[in-house]
Amino acid sequence: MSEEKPPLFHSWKTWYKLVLAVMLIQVIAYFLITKSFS
Amino acid sequence: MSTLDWLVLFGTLSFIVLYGTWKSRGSNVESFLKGDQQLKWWMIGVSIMATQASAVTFLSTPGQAIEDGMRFIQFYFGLPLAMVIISITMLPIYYKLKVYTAYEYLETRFDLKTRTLAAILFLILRGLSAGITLFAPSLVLSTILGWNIFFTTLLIGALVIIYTVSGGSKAVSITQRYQMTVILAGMAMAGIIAFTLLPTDISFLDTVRVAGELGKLNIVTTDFKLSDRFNIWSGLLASTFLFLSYFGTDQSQVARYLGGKSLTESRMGLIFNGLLKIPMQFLILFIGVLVFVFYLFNQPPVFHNQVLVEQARQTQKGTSIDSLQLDFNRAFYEKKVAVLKLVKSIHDNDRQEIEEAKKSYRVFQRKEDSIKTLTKYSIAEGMNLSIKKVKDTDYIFLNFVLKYLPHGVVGLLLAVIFSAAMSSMASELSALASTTTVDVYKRIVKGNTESSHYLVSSKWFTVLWALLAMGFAMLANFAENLIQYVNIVGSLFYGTILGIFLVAFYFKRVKSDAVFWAALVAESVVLACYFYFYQEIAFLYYNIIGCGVVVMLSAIFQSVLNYRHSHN
Repeated sequence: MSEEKPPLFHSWKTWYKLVLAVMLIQVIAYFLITKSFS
Repeated sequence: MSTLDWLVLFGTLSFIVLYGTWKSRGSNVESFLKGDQQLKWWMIGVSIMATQASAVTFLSTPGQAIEDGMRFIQFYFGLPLAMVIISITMLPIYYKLKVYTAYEYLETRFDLKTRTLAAILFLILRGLSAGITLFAPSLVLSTILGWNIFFTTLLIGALVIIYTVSGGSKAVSITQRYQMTVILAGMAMAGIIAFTLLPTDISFLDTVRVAGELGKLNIVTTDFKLSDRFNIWSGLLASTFLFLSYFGTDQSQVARYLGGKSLTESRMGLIFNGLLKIPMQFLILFIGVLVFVFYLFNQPPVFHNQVLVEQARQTQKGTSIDSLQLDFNRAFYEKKVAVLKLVKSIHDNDRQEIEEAKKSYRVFQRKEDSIKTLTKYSIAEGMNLSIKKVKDTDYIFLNFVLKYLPHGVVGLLLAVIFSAAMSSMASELSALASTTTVDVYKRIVKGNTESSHYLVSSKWFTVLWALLAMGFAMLANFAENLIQYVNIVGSLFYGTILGIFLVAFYFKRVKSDAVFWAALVAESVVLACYFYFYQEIAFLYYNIIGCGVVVMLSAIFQSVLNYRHSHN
């Protein structure tokens, strides 16, 4: 099975970094919400 | 329920079932077990999310937020990481080997007994989970609608059987698109309406600040305790193991992305899930928070399972329950005064007043809690039930929907619950049938016959597993919050299964005998943890324990075997 290029980005690594970055941003944002409103 | 609600409910369900059956007619064994392998990335992503989001998600999660705040979201923190790891490691191997089920790979890598062990562990875990997946909505809907649980179980089970037996994996993916649309539309509407029902002088920011001050925005908790189920550490570490196993080795999920048009589409489907799952859970939990704030200003019932309360009222405990409801009403009004004071002090930004209001809120909240506890004991005594079985967390959200949402929306929300139940159950039945057919029946019982025979067998296995799940749902009896059971059952087996796969991928020198015996010991260790250390070790850690024991013991066993081999 030949591997195709991912859509939008040149490499799958960029997609993986995006997924992990979005996750980290959410964790940080939720942490800040917890600290600000509790 | 009005006529409009019934029309919306049955119209939605009939459309999905008939459309799924019609679109997947004439399936061959390939499309029945794997889908048509024509799915685009967004269809795969939706299908993955619909499989995971069962009715329990929508019944229990808002109630979980009301009782325990939003910290349950931390359970999903490991999911994006798991999606990335699966995309890099497991997915290309499954595609390369063109497998029907994940367990086929284990025979290529090890041997038949290891493949069969993993398949059987999966069948036990998924068979039990299918029962819970069906039990949860059947119980709640039967209670709320006043129907017999046999009827609600039969209705959901029969609807799922119709299209799953007709079209298999292909029908599952087709119907899940529409089920997910109904689910998202229904939940968004519930959230918006819950907010509009709040007093007009309470802004969105006030709602958030009140919820925060009263401890419901505890989204991230950083204290580490092995017995604590949900904190950032269990979420990032233990959940990653759980989700690696669930998405990477559980056939109900593997079948979703193996139905992709290409490796690229499947990868994008997993990425889609990795990006959207946490926000989706956040919204569902936030709807729970909105309902919590709503009940700060509107009188809630002392016990949300109204049908059970009504039944208990007919017993000798009726007078005591009525008097407790009156006490609860009085405590609510006293608490409401404290809440209004809290809102005012938030507006004034007066920290000292805020703390005083919170203090007085807590006094009345404790009073309410003790009245609730007394009510539960009265219900338990009146109905001759164990106190553990008198719980109402799973009823809070649906009770709110039925009492306060407008006609039509109630039908839509019930369609959400039914759709979620059907979408998860269909995936589970399809996976149970394909694993039974491919990994057990075809490989051990009857190999090398024409494909039409396996198509018919798969359909019969689908019916068989559906009947088992329905039997389980009709006979089962649970004491805890239902969403916990689904995750506990998964955690009992996922660690061991994941351990087998990790050894297969990363420990090339480990052979079949070592991993097989290591897996048996690991499963015994996990079951021992559950039966003897349930309070001490939170269930999410079973995933790490099971996986860790398989990896370590298989390496040790292999070294011993190598040593014995070299000295013989």
